[in-house]
Amino acid sequence: MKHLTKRWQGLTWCACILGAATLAHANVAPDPAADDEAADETAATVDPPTVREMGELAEEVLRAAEALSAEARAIAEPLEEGEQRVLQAVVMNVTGRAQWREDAESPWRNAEIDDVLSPGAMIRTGGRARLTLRVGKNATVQIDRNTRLSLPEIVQEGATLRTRAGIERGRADFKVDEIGLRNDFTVTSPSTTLAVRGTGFGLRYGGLDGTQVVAARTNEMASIELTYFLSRVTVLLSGAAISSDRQQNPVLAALFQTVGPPAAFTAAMEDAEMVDALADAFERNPIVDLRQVDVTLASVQDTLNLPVLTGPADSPPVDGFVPIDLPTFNGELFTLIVGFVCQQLGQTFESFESGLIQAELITTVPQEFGQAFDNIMAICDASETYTESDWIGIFDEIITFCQSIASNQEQVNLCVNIFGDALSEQFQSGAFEQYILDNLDLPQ
Amino acid sequence: MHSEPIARLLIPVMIVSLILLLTGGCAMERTVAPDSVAETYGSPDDELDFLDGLERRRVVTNHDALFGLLMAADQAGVPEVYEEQLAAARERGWVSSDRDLPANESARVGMIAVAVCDILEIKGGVTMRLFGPSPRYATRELVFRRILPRRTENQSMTGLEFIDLLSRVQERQDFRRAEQAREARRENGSRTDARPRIDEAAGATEELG
Repeated sequence: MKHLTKRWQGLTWCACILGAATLAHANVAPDPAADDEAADETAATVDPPTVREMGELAEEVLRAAEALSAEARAIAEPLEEGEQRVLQAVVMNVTGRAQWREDAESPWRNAEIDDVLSPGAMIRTGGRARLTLRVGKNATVQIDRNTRLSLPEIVQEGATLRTRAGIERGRADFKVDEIGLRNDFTVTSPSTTLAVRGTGFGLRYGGLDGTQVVAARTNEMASIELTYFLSRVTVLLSGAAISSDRQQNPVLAALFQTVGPPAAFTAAMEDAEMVDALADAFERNPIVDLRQVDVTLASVQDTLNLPVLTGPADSPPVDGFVPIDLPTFNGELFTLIVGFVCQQLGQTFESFESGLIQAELITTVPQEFGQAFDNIMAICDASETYTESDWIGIFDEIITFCQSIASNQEQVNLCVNIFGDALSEQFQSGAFEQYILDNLDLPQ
Repeated sequence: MHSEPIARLLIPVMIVSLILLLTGGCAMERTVAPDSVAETYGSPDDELDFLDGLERRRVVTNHDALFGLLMAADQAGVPEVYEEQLAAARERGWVSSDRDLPANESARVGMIAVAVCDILEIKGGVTMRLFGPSPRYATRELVFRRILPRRTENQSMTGLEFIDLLSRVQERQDFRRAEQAREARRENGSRTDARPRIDEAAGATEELG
């Protein structure tokens, strides 16, 4: 009860300040019936309140504070056991196109601030819309763009605040406050029912990824504890972690979002031997070795016995890089493209170097830069005809170099893109056309 | 023996068959819906009804896709007639000028991906920069950026998937606007304090809204 006492004290002080401000405003506000001249005189000659008036003012403020305090206490007061009171939701803020209706049969109406919604109400928002609701006594809901949400139940039953919210599409962020009553807050999507304990979370449902539970935008540090319906596993989330009905464990969700799930993912989750095979597959993938899964990997290792996947501290991750393949091209075209890249390698690297310096990725030319050049030249010199693997090999060398100079994934991507730009310059300079003419037996 | 004349006969037949197979593959028929949601709710003012109608569709038609994408690109100036929408899409380079695009035929992921790359000004990787935003590489780029799950350019989308994609596009547009506002502030401002003032933050919020 200690924190409640503090809260009432806080409310009392707020009420004092508000009350004083209101009354002071009432005292000095000009009479609308008076003419301008009189108003000017009044403003110039207003007397300070007497001691007696100050005493009356203080009493007024105290009475207002007590009333407010009593009202606040009443809100958090449990009802008699078995007694039920239906609560409502209030629209706090609207941006863009948003509408609501009382039930599935009623017509839609535009949402406006202070609209009061009863249980059963449905809300929908458009592409650039956002709507904030205060639901019942303890919850705030921020409804995101392109969302349809329903509130089938908002009720206080005894000492329990029970709220049911349903997301039919889109995303909503929920913030559930502790006000001294028991919270029973349930959110449903077309594929999941979540009973949530915690302070803030977001739920989104869409056609591309199904249901996802995410940290609320208003509270990135929220710790979320949730249990999926018909599941005994409790999932813990924090920060930017995501739990979805397809991948409930946020660590695996992050892992698979990064590296892509193997085909046998579902079976592997249920089969201990498959987990080992899965772990081996991860181990053998050289790209995975460099990736850092920034969530609590230890918990997954304990649960599934996965090996440590984080690379050495100085190895930046290459997030999602897919080597470019040109499957529709035949061997001759690869010979032409790679041959041209080899011919223009010096100029490309000059442009690459100045791009890196301009982007402040390097200040002086590092040793690895020359090494990358030599390695690509080795590819060039190895043969007179080239294949797709030579093309990918060139980029592998660039990625390796970029990893050696970058301190994070964004810098690696930026570095690779600078090389791409340097290469594009060569292709667009007209030299490529000349190279084709020089190396193809075209009919004249 | 007769094997040589038969071989001579077989080779052209096989080549012709292969050509027919390939051209047949390219001209494979796509699903045609009886109508499009945008026919009924084709005005930007009907946006919410359009989304509700689209959500229940098992396939997004070209008409629905172009209307949704043009709304995402420029909510104010979206023409209501399909032919004008198609012309606007051709003008933006989403659809090649020589390609017929029936209104009620299922939209290809590739065409949608090209439009998304244009709306979000995604330049793409080396290949896309060299050869332009083709449906194939635009799709790959969106998959790489996790805007789309693993898809190929000839697949279609359900209404719910398309709405989800639109949300992702609009979310990234918001990020870009915020980023541009920040860049503009950085270029114009001579302040050393990195934190925005309250009035600037309110302005940025309005811009986002």
